[in-house]
Amino acid sequence: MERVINRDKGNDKTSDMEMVLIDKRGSQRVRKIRGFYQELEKQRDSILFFLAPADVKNTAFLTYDHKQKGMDDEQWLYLPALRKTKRIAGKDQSGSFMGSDFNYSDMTEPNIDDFVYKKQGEPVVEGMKTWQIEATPKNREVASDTGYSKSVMFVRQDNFVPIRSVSWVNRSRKMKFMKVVKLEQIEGIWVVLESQMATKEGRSVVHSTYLRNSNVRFNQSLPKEVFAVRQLEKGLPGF
Amino acid sequence: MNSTSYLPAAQRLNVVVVMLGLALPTVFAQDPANQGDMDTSDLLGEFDFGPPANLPPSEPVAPANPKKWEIDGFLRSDLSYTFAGDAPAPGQPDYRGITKLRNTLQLEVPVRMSPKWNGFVSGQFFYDFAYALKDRRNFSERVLDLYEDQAELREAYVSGSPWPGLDVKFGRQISVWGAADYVRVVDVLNPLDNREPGLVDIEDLRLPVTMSRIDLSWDRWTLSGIAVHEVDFGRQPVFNGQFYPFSVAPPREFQPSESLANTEVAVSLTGSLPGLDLGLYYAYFYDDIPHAETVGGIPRLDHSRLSMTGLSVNGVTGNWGWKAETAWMNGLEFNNLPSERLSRLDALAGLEYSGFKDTTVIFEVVNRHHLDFSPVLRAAPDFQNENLTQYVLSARRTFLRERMSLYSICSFFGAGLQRGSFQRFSAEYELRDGVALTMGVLFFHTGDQGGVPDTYEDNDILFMQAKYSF
Repeated sequence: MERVINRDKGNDKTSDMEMVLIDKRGSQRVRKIRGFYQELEKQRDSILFFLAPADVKNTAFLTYDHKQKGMDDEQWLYLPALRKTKRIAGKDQSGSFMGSDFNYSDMTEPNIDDFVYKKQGEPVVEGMKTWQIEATPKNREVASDTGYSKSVMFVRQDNFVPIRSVSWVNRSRKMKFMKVVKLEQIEGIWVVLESQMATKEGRSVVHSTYLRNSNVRFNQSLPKEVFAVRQLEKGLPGF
Repeated sequence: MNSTSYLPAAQRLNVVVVMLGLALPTVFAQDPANQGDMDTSDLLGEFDFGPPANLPPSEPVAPANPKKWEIDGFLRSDLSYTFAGDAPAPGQPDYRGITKLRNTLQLEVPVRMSPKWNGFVSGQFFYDFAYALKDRRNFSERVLDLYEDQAELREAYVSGSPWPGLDVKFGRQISVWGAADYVRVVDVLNPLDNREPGLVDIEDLRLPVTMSRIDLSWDRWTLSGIAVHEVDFGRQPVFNGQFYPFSVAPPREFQPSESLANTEVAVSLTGSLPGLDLGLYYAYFYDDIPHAETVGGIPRLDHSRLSMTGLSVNGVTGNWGWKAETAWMNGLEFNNLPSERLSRLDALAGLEYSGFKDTTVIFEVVNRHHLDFSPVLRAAPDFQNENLTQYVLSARRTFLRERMSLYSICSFFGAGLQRGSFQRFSAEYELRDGVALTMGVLFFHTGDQGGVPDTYEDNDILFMQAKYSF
């Protein structure tokens, strides 16, 4: 699991994300986001600018994900209607990210020490050898924080990318199934370009999210000002 | 005036029912058994889903060569129905029934001038058919001017970063200070739209004014200097309007000219430190709330020049957010103490809890304490109290994957909740991307002097809104 989490993801990254939210009647909602990410020695920073739909345009979300144990992540949200930046509680990672099937915990790196991992096998998935790994939260607090009581991942053995995962939603009968639809190497780094997360109750899909990443670029030496709280109010960087 | 020394039962019930309704489904959520162990083939067999056939084709999220400018904005229709009023006195306007039937168009044009410079222009236009429906002749010209139609420039500014760490912004803009969500303590720079207390959309509440702003940032700190060139005291209800708080017309209001001498100035130092946001503020500005005075035997309203020194701090711990603000206001003037300038100390404390699933609860309490208070200030026309306490409790919960929101805000005045209150409950549903419907109700309860005016007692309102954002 350390190799999965620590695989090369570049020193920084910019990408565009499009999420299509699909309910069980087939009705669709679309979210568009431009994201900037950087990996520092002691923290991972990310700043997301929401570009669509129109009623959330210019909303921005900044996260300092501290690697140091015991140090809480820091998050700020800019609300354009109020012209105000607000520091928000970062603990509830179990909430849905923008109404999608992805939790906030799905969008960030897990803390490897919070889980017990068990290898369950080496099945072949879509012609690729994988490791089947079960991850169980060490305590109820972690389960509550992440929103999952257990997860099983299928990790490709050649590039350490999880290409399938199954997660049991905490305090619910629902399960979430994530599958990678399109995976490519960009600048030598494996990038998930398309994936889908479906929430099932029994055998029925109750909601799903199709996630597309595009315009992915690495190692651009992003200016540190991009990840300052001020940038939330200033808006999308113009470089 | 009414005098209630406790929160009326109806208000308590409103608050309790709504807060429980928002929190209980999460608190008592069942913890059903998970589906048990599944073998590998069972698990892999569950990936029998794929993208829908009608998945929209992939489009650039942000084009490689973005347009220099674009048009954004919204179209909004609002309906208000006042249901608690008695028939008006003869010759007075009737504010029962439909009191708003307004269509609003807001256009926003962001302009990309260069990689380092941007511009932004917005304008808002509305027409309210309610006055034509009720016969316009029943309303004064001042009421019609303020409420029937509007065409105004909102924000219009140029902003840029000429050097790393230096940001400038010139033009009509909004600058928000402090951490409070509902009560203003250090947030003094922009006037407010108070024409319809409790009904104004949050995005319309602060009014832009012409400012020059310079921000110098380093590390996690920002030093800001602001000059406000435009003298604007906001929008207040006018005599004979639905929300005018007094029974007599006000005296003439003195309007200072816009000159260098009347420029407002402000400085702030803010820091986003690990676990904590901190702000130090100073402003020399006009008080948006006028005071009565008598000049040459003639009563008039004037606006004091105040200085404000303030501090705000906020942080988060787990699921809890906390905030505190304090401001020392100096230079307050009153009719009954004409030769004196008084000071006031405002202090706010607040908590925010987001531990319930998809729910946020916010509580704020503020006290405004007049230093060197004199009992003569209680009398007309000042109507001041030594202390004015306000409590605000709000809760918001989202459902259906953020498609629907339930929102409540309850505000109470007076340390013993004796100066009245208002409660607003609303539900918003997203029909599709960019299209939202909102319905709600607003209750007013009057109390002792200094809180909710007596004239608001019969102003309970049902409201609806349809909004299309583009």
